[in-house]
Amino acid sequence: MAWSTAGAAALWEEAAARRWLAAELARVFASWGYRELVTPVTMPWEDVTAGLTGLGEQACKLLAADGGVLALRPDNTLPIARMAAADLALEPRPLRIFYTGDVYRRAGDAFRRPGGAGCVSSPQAGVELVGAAGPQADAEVLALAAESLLALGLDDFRIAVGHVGLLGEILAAAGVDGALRLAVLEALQNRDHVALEAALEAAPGLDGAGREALVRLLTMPAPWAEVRRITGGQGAGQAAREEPVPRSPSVGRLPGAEGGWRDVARILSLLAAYGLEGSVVLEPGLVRDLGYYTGMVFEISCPGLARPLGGGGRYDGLLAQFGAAEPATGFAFELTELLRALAARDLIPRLTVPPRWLVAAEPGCEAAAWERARALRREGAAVELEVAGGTVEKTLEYARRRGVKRVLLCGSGGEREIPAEPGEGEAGPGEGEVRPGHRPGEGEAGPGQGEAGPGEREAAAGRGEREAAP
Amino acid sequence: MSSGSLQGGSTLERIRDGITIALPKGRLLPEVGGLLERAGLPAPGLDDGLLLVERPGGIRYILARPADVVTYVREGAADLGVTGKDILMEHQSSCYELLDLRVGFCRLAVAGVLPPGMDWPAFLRQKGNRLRVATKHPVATRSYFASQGLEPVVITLSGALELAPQVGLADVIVDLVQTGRTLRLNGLQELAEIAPITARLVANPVSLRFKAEAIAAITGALRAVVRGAGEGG
Repeated sequence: MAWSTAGAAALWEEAAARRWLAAELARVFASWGYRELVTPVTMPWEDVTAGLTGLGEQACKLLAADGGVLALRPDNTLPIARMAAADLALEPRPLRIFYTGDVYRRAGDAFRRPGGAGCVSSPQAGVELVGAAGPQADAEVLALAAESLLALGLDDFRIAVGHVGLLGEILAAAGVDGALRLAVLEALQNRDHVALEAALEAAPGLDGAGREALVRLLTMPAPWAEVRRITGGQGAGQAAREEPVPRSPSVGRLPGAEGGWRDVARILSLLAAYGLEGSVVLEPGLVRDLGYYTGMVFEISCPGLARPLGGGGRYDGLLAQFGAAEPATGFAFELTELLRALAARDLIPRLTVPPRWLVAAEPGCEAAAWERARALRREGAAVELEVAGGTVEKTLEYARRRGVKRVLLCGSGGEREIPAEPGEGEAGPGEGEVRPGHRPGEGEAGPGQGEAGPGEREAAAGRGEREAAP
Repeated sequence: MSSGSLQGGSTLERIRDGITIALPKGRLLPEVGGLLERAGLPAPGLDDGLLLVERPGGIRYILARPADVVTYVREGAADLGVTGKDILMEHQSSCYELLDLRVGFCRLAVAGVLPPGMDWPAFLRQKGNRLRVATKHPVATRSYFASQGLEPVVITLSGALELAPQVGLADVIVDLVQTGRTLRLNGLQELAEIAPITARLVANPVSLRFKAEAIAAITGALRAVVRGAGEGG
């Protein structure tokens, strides 16, 4: 077994796990027709503040050499959106793009450390579906997120779906507008139910029962059965107009209030058609942190984690900021949280396996060792070359700590295998066998022992080097 | 699953998967414990030695320092937590604030000693951004003075704030004030109120999604007790 301190082992595993996860997600995304784009880590400061995303406060600023202001990308969608609007303007729509990349935000307690402006990086992987409006595109990104998790073996996740338009309609139907509406939206974004209830106390059109119904609608996730009842099944007809709007004498039927409900109902019924209804809850009060959402929004969570796995939504106004108005929708996974969920459920395969072989060379036999290592690698084994010099004992100790089971020593008399573990029995065919050309008792190189003389050794070494060169 | 003999059956019956609640040690605990009991939840007990308390019906209490309650909830070690609004104001938290428990009444206030013949607005004008404020609540302090158009020097301490003006470390302090006795004992006067403070119930967002029914039951029961004890409505 490889021996490492717990901290060191975690570092190797974390890197391997991240690479594995990125590859798995890329595989799923590609199977839905998504293609990868890579964006630079820095972006112009103006792009960060485009579209009033609210990211300006969280982004890490850099000064470029020419005095211009750059940001480390706080979000992957922004640079992707710019590429879609500019470099990919002539590509057929809809564009299906995926990415893997770190985002950088200012550390949460930047306030507390004077001069502390530390940046925290978070690895993300996600998709953007550009140029397709409508519920089917939204249902696709939702379903892709769900299918990605299922492909990884996670099946106890829950998707909370909200909708910017729906929320607006609910508030309008309840007579909540103007400054009151801003207060309510701010309370929802801050997840402050106390402030929400306090704000609604001042709502003119609501009686006690209406207020309670509205608060319940905005703060409680509604499971699928409830959603079907609210949205009346497939489409949003009478049921949608009547059910969720708090009834109160002064609040009448709101004309044209169906856009949001209809959208949500259609998206949710598509998800049901895809077999995902068990994982979906409706959260009309869901407000995501980024300010660019214009329609459906969602968050995915797994039980036992402190934070959501990821989320996304529709952002139809963003590409217009980059010169090409187009609808777009997408999501991103927070890979740190996703890895946590996978590790907790034992879904990460064993990735850091020690090499099968360590090949060492006696002086003058480097060419033979090299060739042997190459041949073994061609057979598919991972092989390390001994390069530190030193005694056989030191080599064996390294092999033990590294977890390498089989050590090959190439010497003048041929090659022989040295058991890595002292006193180990037969570990398999070939272990400890004497190779042809080797005479027993002549393992170690020693002066004048069955060896070529100095002159010949150098010549042999020279030949070896020429042979070794590809 | 709930067993037979439990206090306040209806609240506990709706807790199926277990709920962990982080409670604040110290002056808030007795009042909060009383609320929980009246809401049909088991009493946390006031064993100072015990930090993790298991109770029947799948309830676990974590007794933590008020400042740490938010950390426990944010990191998912607790589903729910109770702590002061002042703590919540200091942490940009992803936690949901569910309910004002209306206990632990106090206020976050500016306190200090004014030069003779000067009132607080005049003192502020004179000092401007050279004002030195010692506090345990730097975020709330900066935010308050920013709303007054000022950026004073904020000195973060972890306790014994009343000393700061006396030794010349700061001109004024921002601290929690209840009766005002501590201020008076130290020769300080209350200069301005920043915000009224009460204990709040907070929830981890993921817990809220997966244990929605249990959390709604607990919140509803507490809300009924809070409303009943207050002016009503």
